[in-house]
Amino acid sequence: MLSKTKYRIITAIGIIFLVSGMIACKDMFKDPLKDKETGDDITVLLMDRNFITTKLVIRLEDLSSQQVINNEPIEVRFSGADAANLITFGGNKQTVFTTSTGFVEVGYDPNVAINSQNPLELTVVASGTNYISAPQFVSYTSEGIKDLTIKMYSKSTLKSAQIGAFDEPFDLSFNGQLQSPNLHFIADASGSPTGTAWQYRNLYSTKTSGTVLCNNLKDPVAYSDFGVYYFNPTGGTSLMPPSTPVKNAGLLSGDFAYSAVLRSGVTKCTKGLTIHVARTGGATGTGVFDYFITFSNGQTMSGKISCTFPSDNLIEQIYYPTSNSAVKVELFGDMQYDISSAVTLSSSCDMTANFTASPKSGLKNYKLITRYSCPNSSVGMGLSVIGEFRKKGTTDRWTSFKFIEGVCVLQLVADADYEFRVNIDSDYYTYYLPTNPDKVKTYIQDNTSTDFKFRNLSINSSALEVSITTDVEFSQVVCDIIQ
Amino acid sequence: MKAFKILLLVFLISVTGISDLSAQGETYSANGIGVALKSSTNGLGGDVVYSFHERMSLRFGYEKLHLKTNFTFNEESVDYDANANYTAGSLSLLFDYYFGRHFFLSAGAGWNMFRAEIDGKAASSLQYGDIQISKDKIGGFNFQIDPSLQLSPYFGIGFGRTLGLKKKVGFAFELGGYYQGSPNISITSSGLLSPTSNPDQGHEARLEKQINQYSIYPVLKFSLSYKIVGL
Repeated sequence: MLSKTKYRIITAIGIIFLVSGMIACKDMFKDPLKDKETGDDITVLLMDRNFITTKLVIRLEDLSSQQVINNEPIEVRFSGADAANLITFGGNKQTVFTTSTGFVEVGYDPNVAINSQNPLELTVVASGTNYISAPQFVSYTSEGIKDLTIKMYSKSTLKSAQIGAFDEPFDLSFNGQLQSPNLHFIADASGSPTGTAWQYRNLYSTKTSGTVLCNNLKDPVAYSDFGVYYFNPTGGTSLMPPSTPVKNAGLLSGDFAYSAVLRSGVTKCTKGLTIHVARTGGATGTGVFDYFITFSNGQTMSGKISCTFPSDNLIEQIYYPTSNSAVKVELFGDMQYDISSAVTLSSSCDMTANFTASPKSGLKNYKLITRYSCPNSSVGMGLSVIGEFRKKGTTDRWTSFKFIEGVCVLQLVADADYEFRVNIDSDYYTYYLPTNPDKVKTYIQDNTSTDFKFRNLSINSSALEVSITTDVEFSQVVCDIIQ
Repeated sequence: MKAFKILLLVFLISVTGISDLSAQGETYSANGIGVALKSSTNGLGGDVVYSFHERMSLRFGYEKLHLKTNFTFNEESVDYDANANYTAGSLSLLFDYYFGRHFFLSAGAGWNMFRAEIDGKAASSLQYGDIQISKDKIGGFNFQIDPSLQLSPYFGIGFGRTLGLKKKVGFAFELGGYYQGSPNISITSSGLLSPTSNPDQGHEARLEKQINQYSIYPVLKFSLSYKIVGL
C-alpha cells in the first residue's frame, strides 16, 4: 500500500506533469495549414505560372522620332515554319498580334525545343493604317527573353514622299519606266536589318499594279547581288527574308517593295556574341539595356537586352566583314544602373563582352516579394512577369523590370512614388507604389479591391534596403482568367 | 479532480497488479542488469537496464519507427504523386527515479532520429490555352522536417518497473516527451514549382512558423524487461 505522503507526492507530480504537458501541447492539434494569425489558408506549394520560357518582347518605334507608336492599332505578323508555335499570354496559338500600346509580347510554345540544331526562325513585319515596317528575319538558338525593336516608317506621302528610285546601286523600273510615278519612294530603309546577309536600301509603295524590274548593278565590287522583297499588308502575296529578293516581281496596287543588296565580303558568325552583365558585388537585379556593336568597316548593329544579373545574352544573326572580324561593343545604362565602358573584341563571333552594372547614386534597393494565391487552393503562385516603371506624374523614359518567381529588386529614389505597368496581350495594367515604407501599408490597404486582397504585409526597412513582402489573394473571377 | 484521483489510483493498482502477476515466485536483489523490449510512439526497440539502487536505474536504449505511404492529390488541375516517409526513434540514455515501488520519473537525453519527408512530382500535364505544360516542366518538390535539437532532452513519468524489483520480469508503462525544439523545414523544388524553395520567398521560414508548436515529441511507451544478472 502507498503511504498517504507518497500518494500525495505522486499525485502532485502527476498533476504537474500532465498540466505542463497540456500547456506544451495545447497547439498541437491546430491545423498547421491555417495561418496562425489570420486563420487564412496557407499555400504549401508555390508555382511559377510563367509557363512561357521564351518571349519575343517587341517594341514598335517610329523611325524618325524614335518614339513608341501608341496612337493607332498595329498588326504584327509572323511567318515561317515556327510561327505556328507562337502563343499569347494565355497560351493560345496566334500568328498575328494587334497592339495599340507600341509593345507586344509574344510567347513561344515551351514544348518546342530551341537550340542550335533547332533554332527558332521567324520573319516579322508590322503594319498599321499609317505605318509599315521592313520585314525582319529573326533566328534564336537559345530560350529566354528576346528583345526586338521594329522600326516603322510613316506611309504618309506628304513632303517626304517622292517619285522615282533613290540611292540605288542598280536600276529599278516599274512597268518598264525608271522613276515611275506609280512607284513612290517612302523612306530610306537601310536602318532596318533584314536579319540576313542582305541589306535593305529603300522602301517603295505601288500606286497601280505592275512589274518591278531590277537590273544593271552599278557597283559589282561592293555588292554581289540585288533585288526587291515585297509585301501586301491586306493579305496579298509577299516575299520576305530569309528568301532571296527577286529581280522581277509582279506587284499589286498598294504593295510595298523593299529594295535590297547583298554586300560583298560579309560572313555570318556560326555562333553569336555573348554580352555578359553582372552587378557590382554580385547582387541581384534586373534591367533592360541598349547595345551598340560597331564592326571594323564602320557598319553597326544595335538592339536591346533584358538582364537578370548575372546575365548572358546571346546576340545572333551577326554578319561581320570577312577581312576583319574585330568589333567594339557598347552597352548603355538605364534609370537604375550605370554600365561599364565599351569593350573591344578581336572577333564578333563566339566571344563574350563583359560589363558591370553599378547602381546609380542616390537610389535605394527595394526588394519586392509577392506570393499570389487563389481561394481554397494550396498552390500559390510566384509569378515571373516583366513590365516597366517610372516616377509617378513624370514623362521620364520607362525602365523595364522583371519579377522572377515573385521576387523583384529595383533601384528607386527613396520616398518617391512610382508608376508600374505590365503589358499582357497588348494591354497595359498600371499600378502605383509609394516607396516610403510608412505609406506603403496605408496605400495597399486603401487599394484593396474586389479582384484581390493583400495579406501578411511585411515591410523591413534598413539604411541599405527596403524589403516589402506580401501575399495577394486573387478573387475567384481573376483566378479563372489566369488559369 | 476527484474523478482524476480515482482514475490515477485505478491505474496504479492495475499496474501494481500486473507487476505482481509477473512474479515468478523467486525473489532477487533489487539491483541488477537486464534487457527490455519496448514499443512506443517512438518505435520498437530495446533497452539495457542497469538498476543500481532500489529507487534508481539507468537505461541505454534504441528504438526506431519507420512508416512509408504513397498518395496522390490534385491541385490546380494537376495530379501529383507523392511519397511520405516518417522516421522516428532515438538512441537514449535515461535515468529513472522511483517514488515508491511502481511509480517513477525518467529524465535523460536521446539522439533524436525524427524525420518526416514528403516528396512528390507532377503526374499529369497542365492544359494551358492551346498548349499543354508537360509534367516534367511542372517539376517536383521535397519537404523535409527535422528536429532543431538533434540531441533532445527527455522527461517522462511511468508506472511499473523498468527492471523487475524482486522478480526477473518487469513491466512498465511510460508517458513522456522529447524536447526537440521547433522543427526545421528544408524544401527543394524544381521546374515551375521552384518558387516553393526560392530563399527570397521565405517559404521555409513561413511553414516553420506554422509548425513551431511541435517542439515536443510525445512518447507513450510500454516495456517488458528481463533481469539477466542480479547484483
